[in-house]
Amino acid sequence: MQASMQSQFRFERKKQIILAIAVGLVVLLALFSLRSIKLTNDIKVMLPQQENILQTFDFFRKTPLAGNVFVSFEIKDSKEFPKLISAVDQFSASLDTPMIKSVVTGTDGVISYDGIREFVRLAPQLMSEEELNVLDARLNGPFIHKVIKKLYRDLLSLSGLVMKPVIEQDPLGFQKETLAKLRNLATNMKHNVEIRNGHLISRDGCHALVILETDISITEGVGAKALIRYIEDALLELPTAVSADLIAGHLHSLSNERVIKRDVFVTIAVASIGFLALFLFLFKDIKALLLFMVPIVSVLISILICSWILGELSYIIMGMGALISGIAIDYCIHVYVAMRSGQTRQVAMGEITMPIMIGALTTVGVYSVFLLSRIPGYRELALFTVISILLSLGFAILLLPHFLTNNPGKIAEYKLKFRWTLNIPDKYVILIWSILLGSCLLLLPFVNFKTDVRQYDGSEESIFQTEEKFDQDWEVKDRPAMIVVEATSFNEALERNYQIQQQVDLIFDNESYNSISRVWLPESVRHENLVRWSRFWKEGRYKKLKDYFQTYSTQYDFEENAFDPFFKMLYLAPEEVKAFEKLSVLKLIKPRFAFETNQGCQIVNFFEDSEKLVEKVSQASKNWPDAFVVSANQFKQLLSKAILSETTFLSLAIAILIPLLTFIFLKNLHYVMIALVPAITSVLVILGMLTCFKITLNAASIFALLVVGGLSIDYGIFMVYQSYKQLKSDTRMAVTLSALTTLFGASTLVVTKHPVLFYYGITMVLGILSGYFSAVFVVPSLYRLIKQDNFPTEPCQTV
Amino acid sequence: MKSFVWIGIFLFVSFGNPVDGWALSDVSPDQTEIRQVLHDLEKNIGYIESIQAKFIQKKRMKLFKHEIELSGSFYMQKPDHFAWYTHSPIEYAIIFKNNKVLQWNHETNRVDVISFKDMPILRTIVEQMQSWFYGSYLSLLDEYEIEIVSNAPLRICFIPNEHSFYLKMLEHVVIQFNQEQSAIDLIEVEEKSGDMSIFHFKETLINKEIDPSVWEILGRAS
Repeated sequence: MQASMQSQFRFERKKQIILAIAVGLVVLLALFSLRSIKLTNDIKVMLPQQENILQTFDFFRKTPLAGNVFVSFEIKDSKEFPKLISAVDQFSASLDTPMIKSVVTGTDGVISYDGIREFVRLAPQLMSEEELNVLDARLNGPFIHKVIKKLYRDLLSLSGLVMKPVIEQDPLGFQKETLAKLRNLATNMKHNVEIRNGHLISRDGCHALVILETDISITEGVGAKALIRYIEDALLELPTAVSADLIAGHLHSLSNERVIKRDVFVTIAVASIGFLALFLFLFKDIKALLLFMVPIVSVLISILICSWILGELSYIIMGMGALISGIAIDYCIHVYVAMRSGQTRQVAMGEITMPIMIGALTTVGVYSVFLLSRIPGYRELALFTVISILLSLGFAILLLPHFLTNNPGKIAEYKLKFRWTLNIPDKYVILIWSILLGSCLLLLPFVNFKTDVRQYDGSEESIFQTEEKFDQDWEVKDRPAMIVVEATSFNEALERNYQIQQQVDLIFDNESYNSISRVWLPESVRHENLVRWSRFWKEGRYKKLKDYFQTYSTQYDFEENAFDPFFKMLYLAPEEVKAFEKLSVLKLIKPRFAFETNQGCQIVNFFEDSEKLVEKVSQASKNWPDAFVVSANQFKQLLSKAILSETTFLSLAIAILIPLLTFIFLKNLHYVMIALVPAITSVLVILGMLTCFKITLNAASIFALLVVGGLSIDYGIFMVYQSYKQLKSDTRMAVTLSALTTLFGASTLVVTKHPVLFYYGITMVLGILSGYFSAVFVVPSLYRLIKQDNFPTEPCQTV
Repeated sequence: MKSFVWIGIFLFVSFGNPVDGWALSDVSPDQTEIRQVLHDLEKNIGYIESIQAKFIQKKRMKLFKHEIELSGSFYMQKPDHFAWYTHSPIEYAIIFKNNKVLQWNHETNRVDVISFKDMPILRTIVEQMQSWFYGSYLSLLDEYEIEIVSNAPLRICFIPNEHSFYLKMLEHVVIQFNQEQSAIDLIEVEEKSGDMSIFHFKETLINKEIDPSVWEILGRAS
């Protein structure tokens, strides 16, 4: 008999070697293929795939405005102002690289002086028929006399120094309103900037702003790195009295990449060390390493399969790999503990296969629901997890037992036993559990949900601090909402923008709509205006005005030709519509409002980001196929709504699916209810604890919440199964080890810096702890209490 | 973002008033000597906390047939108070304080209050005048080529250098000091456009208490 067993054992050894070689080859192949996997660092995967959400998100990310680099120079004492200016000039002059398209430090005096005169000269082409009617009413002697008297007074006053160029070109102030529009465009900015000595200076006089325009996109890793390094090197030359802060989207993407890479390394390293230590010190068995190997192999192969299916994988999802391995290892642990129950392989596996499969399939069921999600990150993680779990299940049931088959003589030595028991009566256990759940239920109304997409930005703290400082230094106002008009060319976009402006003007007053169309009309409209303008003066008004000027200007000692530029303007030729487009003033305005895109051109118009206005404009925009509204506030609301509906759908689906699956497998309503206890406990404890510690819920924690519910029910199923089947293998030991390994995976995420990983980790830790304790202590107590009255005497059948 | 760039395009500077051109001195001390002169001036003038004086401004502008003479008074008090009153040929006042500009004229008897932010060039001019009157001369080396035109009386010519904001607006500015080199007697400004101004200052009072009503232009409005 003994000889026969030894012969069987030798046969098993041979089988183990063949299997090990086969698995090793698969692993090698997988490792080799890893090199070809495309990884991405795009937080867009965490957003619901809703058109307006993605449109707004893409706009914020891709707009050239976001690509600008801001350098804020600072002096501590405003007396050092000349040094500040000198530092800005030196820095700007030192920049000589194709990476930087242009450097904006302020304005050039002469461009301003000549440019504004030229703008005023050509501005009649902006005058509408209504404006000409108003002008016509003013062409009378008393009015002209009053105007000339005022001109005289203004020119002799100190402020006349400022007004002189405009007075020469436009003494009657025809373009006063157009200039006001131009001024309005300039002052409706989110930064409180003043022009001093031709530089962009903060109100306290201690900061100067330099804007660097670049074609390097914020997500262009290598280019962004080179650009930031170049700028930082140039800033090393600053004098000691001047410091500088760098504000750029590029810093965020570089920092995120750094943080995620570090987090992935930390989670994998810590989880690996933790698992190894757990198995080696607790099991004191070299074969325990195999448990560690199974999830690694499963995750490795899952990565490959997912990348084949999806094309690319997200870094965030990779970061969660450690946690997934914690889940996937559960089944191996149950097999391992069963194999050390002192029974033969066949008997041990016969006992444990069914609950393992029920647990795994329930978890797969939970994750499968996420495959229906509108959030690609959820789908990606779900696919990854389902494949990992199925592979792990397969390895655990089909392969692992072969490697764990021990010499029959030594089986008894390997027996593991869970020795921690509570000496508290069942009713007290239930009472404590009820109080805990009750407290968590009371906290439910205070649960907060955070939708700010910036919460997924894992950039280092120093970057946020610098941005906060920048906002304070420059008194940054609230971000405006925008209407974005798209066309294949600038002129086409301008034409469309003008038409939209006509409709927008019906919605709210002109002042609050900051649009380039206020001062830059389409060529066709300008041409029409100019023809009307010429006709207007030819109808005898020119001579009348000239006579008035001759009469009154001599009274104030004006030269006869003092206003020649003005009278030349009255005969502006229609061809001047072309000259308008070359105005230096407009060349300076254009980059703020119009951007080249892959599709052609985008014109951006700004208005106050209030709910009421955005709602009205959004309604109107439904008739504008080539325009869309961008509002940070609306974006938050849409996101909130989308995630809420997503969460509701997924929660409902899971809430129905879990009991259903459990019922299918256990076929007894009482058992199902008891098995659900850990899941319900973990969900309520998570919500209660997060509220208690003032941690707001977000998409990552919601996902973890639903997942942990699925995991906890595994514990419930195992414990119920153990209770009514009276298994010889120690299920409590297996559940404890399962929870511990998952906890290792989740705990590593708690120490990560990236917010998505952190929120996922903290939720998992809370859920696993509460799910585990309720499974190990509450489920048996509840089973015993209910069994006395309600349960059938015979164990129920399972599938 | 680039919108800041053109905020200044509304606001222009032109110093006016006719004055005969002057020839720069052939003898000009080297930079070390200029620095020494400026340093001495800073020492002499740097103690000024407030200043008040009457002025006569001769202004020649291409827009007018004849030279115009204006008279008035001005007041400056550290850190940021500045008032400019013109008595003839028009009655007019402009006051800068607490980041606000207040303007008044006799004709309308109305006070307009404007934010300093909306008149950045005017602010730059006022700050420039403060630098001259409070004696911050060495810092002007960053923006001007500086030459000594004469030593008695001391006349210094400031020519905007290539980094200067004023390069394309100003031809030059000449400042003449009193015998003790403790206050400014005269400022000449020539613009690129050809318009010129000469400011003669008299009855200058330094660090004497300024009547607080000077800063209260609103009281003038009916």
